[in-house]
Amino acid sequence: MKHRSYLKLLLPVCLVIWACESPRSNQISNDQVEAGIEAGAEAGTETNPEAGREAGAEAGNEAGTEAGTEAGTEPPVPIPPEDCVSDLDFFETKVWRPVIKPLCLDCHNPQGAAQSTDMVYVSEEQMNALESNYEAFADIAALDRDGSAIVLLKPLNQLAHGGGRLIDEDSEEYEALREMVERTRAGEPVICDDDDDEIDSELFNGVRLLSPQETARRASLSLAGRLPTQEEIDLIEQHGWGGVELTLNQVLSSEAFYRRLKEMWNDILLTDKYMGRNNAIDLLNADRFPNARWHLNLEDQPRDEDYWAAIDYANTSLAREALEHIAFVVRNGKPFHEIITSDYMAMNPFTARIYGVDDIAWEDPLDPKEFHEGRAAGIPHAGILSSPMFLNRFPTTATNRNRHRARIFFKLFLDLDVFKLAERPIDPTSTVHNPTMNDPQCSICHTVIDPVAGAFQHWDEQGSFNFRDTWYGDMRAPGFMDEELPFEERTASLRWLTLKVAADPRFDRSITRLIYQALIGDDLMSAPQEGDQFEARERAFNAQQRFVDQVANGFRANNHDLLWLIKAIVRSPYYRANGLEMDREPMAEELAQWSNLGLDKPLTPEQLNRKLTATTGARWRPNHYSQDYLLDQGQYKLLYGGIDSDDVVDRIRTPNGIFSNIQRRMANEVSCKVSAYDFTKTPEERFLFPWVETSYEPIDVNGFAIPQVEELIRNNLKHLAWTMWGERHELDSPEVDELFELWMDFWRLGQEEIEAGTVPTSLHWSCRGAWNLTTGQGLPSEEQITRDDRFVIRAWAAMLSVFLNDPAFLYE
Amino acid sequence: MMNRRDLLKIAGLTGLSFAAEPFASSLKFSKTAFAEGQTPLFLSVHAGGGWDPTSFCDPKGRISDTQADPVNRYMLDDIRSPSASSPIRWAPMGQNEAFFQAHYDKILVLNGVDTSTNNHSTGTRYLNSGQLEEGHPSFAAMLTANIGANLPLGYITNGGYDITRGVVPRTRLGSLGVIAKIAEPDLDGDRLFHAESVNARMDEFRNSRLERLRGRVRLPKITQSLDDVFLSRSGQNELKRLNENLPDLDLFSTSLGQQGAIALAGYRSGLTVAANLSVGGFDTHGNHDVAQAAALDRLSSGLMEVWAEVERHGLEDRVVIMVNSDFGRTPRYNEGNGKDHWSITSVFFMGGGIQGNRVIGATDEGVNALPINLQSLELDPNGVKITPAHIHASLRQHFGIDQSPLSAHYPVQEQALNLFS
Repeated sequence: MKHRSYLKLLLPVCLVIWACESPRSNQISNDQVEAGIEAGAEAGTETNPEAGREAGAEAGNEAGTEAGTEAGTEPPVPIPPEDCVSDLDFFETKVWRPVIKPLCLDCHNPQGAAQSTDMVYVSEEQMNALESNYEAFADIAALDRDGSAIVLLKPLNQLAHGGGRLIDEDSEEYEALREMVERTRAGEPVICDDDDDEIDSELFNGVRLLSPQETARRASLSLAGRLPTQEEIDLIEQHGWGGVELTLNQVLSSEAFYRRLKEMWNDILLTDKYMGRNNAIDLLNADRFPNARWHLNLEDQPRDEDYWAAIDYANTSLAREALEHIAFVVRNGKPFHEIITSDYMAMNPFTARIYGVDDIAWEDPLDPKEFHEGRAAGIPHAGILSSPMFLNRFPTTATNRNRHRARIFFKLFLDLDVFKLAERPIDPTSTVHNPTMNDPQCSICHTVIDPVAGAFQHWDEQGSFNFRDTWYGDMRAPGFMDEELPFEERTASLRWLTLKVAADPRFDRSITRLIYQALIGDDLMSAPQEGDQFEARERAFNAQQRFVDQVANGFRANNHDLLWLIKAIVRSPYYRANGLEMDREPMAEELAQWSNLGLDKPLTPEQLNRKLTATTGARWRPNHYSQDYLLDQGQYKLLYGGIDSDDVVDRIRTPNGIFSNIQRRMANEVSCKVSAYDFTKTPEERFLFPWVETSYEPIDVNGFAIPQVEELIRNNLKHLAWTMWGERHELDSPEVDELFELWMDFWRLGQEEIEAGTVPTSLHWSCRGAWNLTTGQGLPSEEQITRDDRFVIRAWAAMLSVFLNDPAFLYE
Repeated sequence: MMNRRDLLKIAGLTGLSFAAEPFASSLKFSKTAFAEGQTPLFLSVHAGGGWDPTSFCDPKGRISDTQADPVNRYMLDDIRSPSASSPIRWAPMGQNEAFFQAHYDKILVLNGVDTSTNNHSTGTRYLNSGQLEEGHPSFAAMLTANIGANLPLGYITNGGYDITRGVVPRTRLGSLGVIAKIAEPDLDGDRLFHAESVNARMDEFRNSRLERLRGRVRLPKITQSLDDVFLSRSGQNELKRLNENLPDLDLFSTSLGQQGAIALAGYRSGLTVAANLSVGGFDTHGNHDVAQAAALDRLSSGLMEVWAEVERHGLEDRVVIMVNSDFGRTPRYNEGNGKDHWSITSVFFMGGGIQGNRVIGATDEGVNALPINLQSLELDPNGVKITPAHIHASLRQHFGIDQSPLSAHYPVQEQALNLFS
């Protein structure tokens, strides 16, 4: 650590020897190889891609299968598919879609006018929605009035129905309901031998999925900003998906992954708003946290580099405490729900000092990267929710009464966008007293959010814990759903809430969805509306919903292991779909059913920046003192769709003219800067040109081809196609032929320009291999490359520019 | 969702041309408010957080100091108007006086607009897309898709409701200090990075590779993303023109003024036909009068700078500015001297084809919307309340895109009113 002298001021707080938890190992042991191979076998092998396609589903299915077996019921004998319409299919196609969804759902939903009746259905986008709604129907179908099913009497209005008469007795809708009632009363459910997993698997026939190596490459670049190592490539070559499992284990234990994890969560929590100066520390109430400004109060300390470093560590540590808490939970193999349920906060020496926590023994009390569980006096922690950073980023006011925080809570941890409940007209002239309690147009949301808002009751507008004896009498009582907060839990109300939520399956789905979005770059497909190719789109929607539900179940079965969740999504066809593999043109129906497949968003500026470094070995920045262009808000970060976590909080993920210009400039600048420099290294050290030298020309001075050189050039092009684009091509493939032809054209054109005197034989100073691009130090003159008499280096630079400014590089 | 390729197909089928020359008018659907051959510029200004029209263009005031629970704390007598005959009135707060005195003759105020919601995102969506529920692009995106779909910076956004549904790309243009650098991506100082002939061969390869990739992947999402790449590349060199038309941004004292100047430079460069401009700070749940006045100051001052720039370019007849917010604020103060959310709001317009010095619609003393006659636009107890859907139907008509295939694809539920002239 660079600034140790001043940081020694922290030492007095470290009195107790603390036993560090073992970090996850970065080494691959033999046992791990075997375990990985076993896990990989479950996930399928390269020679058996079908098994691989089902991998994510299989992993998630285990929990469900076990649960069914434990219940002790004999599964019904399936009927062959050609003769069979299962109860669930009948319900979906004949009852749910044509009858209940258009006629009943508007009122019979948890927030609708018929919310207090015995028949309440959930939105299609909720977890296991079809099964839940089928069960809701089956329950009500069992009830009779005067010998007739109530569910048949109501829509005819033969039994008082708030919605009036909706269908006629001789209608198709009535007939469907009648048959459905009959089915549910038959005792034996009809289940067909065409289970959904098989249907879902067939859905991907014709879709090209990434191979194990390609999958590992995409995942390691995306999650750790690096290419797979040769050792990992060899493992995958040998063991297929088992090798991928091991590679992912390596990737997910790297520090780079934890940086990416924090980046993902900052996109959600936006607490990086408080980075810089004392922005985070200034949020703390000085009376509650008298130590918060310890580093600023040392008046005799010279305002030197150490002083400013300490301020930066202190403020950064506090600003990022919620993100670091998330990383801590994952790094230490704790159940992911501890991000909100923990009765501690991950603290480093700086945040511990700020909060006045002095009972932690540090291995290195000056290391901002050392984290332990910390408990601040007088704060009933509830993971990140009790962090002043979270509470200030999602603030409340005297009239808002924590409802904003409750809304965010539902969105992040219960997969519910409360705003969507309120997308219907309201009448401002309503004179209902206390409308949030009594007016249905307001209570539709407030019934849901107000109890949770009450659970935040002790967290005030400054984000401080401020115990309140009573909550507002004109709001619903603190609690969660129908359950009121027990009196004895009132001090730790927030933690009580989070423990309830951690046990709720919606938490599993919510986190699964967030990770899906982060990895795939897109949200889940919305429930399709009637229209072109409706059935195909619905198949796609249903399959995706089942996939997410299965993975969410697996996430729970694996004790909320986030790394398991990430791996399940990475192995899935949703992550791996990369094109079509069919000789004919796809039909419109097929395209519709694949409409939610494929990663189609440009890399974020942060991801692109990491990929540039991983593939070229250099950083794109004005000079080695400067911040990287793509990370600098004053340069290209925001223009390239990035966020500042303050005013600009949503990323632009569709390219525009500005993106295009930045990409072009990046390709030009980087290829200029790194090409000659790469040649100054030994072939083993090179990122870009390990197969060739600056003297390698494919045609000699007499005009004769030199096949050996051509082969080396082709090898290097093959290398770049893999590292830059993730494309594996043979040396004599049409793709490499084309690249070689392009290289030859560059070389010839360049030589012609040299001969014509339009370009010089020396390299422009900014493109010379004269400096170490990492340290900024000049290279010894004998190692420098400053000339390019035969246009070989510039031909390679042009090739590199082509590789960098290509969708395969920019999108991944 | 319609993708851009589908859109282009529709354009081809209907004879709609996406002109390579942006100033050649492509408004061929129906009569428009603009002169033949003149493409308009639409600026959508969003006052983020939910403004209080009673502090601005729909003032109420209080009768006396002792009036209980007043809508406003300023006095009724202090409400201002440019003349006895003008229907325009404003609250005596912030920079309202300077703004309205200078511009009332070109302003059309719509009061008593019923957003049917007090939810930030829903209200913002409704007021900017004409549909309460999710699913419609913003009007600015619709307009761009109709008359500037081929423009690389067709739709510039600085926030607000800028959902495009994929029909056009949107561009963020916040930090322009670096525009000069990326406007010339092939130049390293005064020389080319790559030899000219090499550059040409690179471009040829890139284009052919894009086609090959498109033929290879064929998954709809990825195909569309490749189309996006193609479209975004098509206007790479156009950024130079924007750079040439940018004024010195230090001349502007407000963020809104700068945003407007950039949009106008984009328009003058033939690159832009619509932009979202935004100014925040209107969600005044506490200390309403002070905070709302400060936010209104930023809005009014910014609008004055934007309009000065419009005049400098001589574009008064071509630029249409719509100003709105999320919704309105309650007709009473809460315990924290703030005002909470209220579904009735105001919207105002100024610019090309807008007949100014007019107010349509009204609210009663409790800030409830009063119905109007849809033909005469006069108050009428048997009429209907103005909604954002009415406004958007009218806007589409004003810009001549109401009969376009895209308008049919994203219909609004109300009829157009003769609001603007």
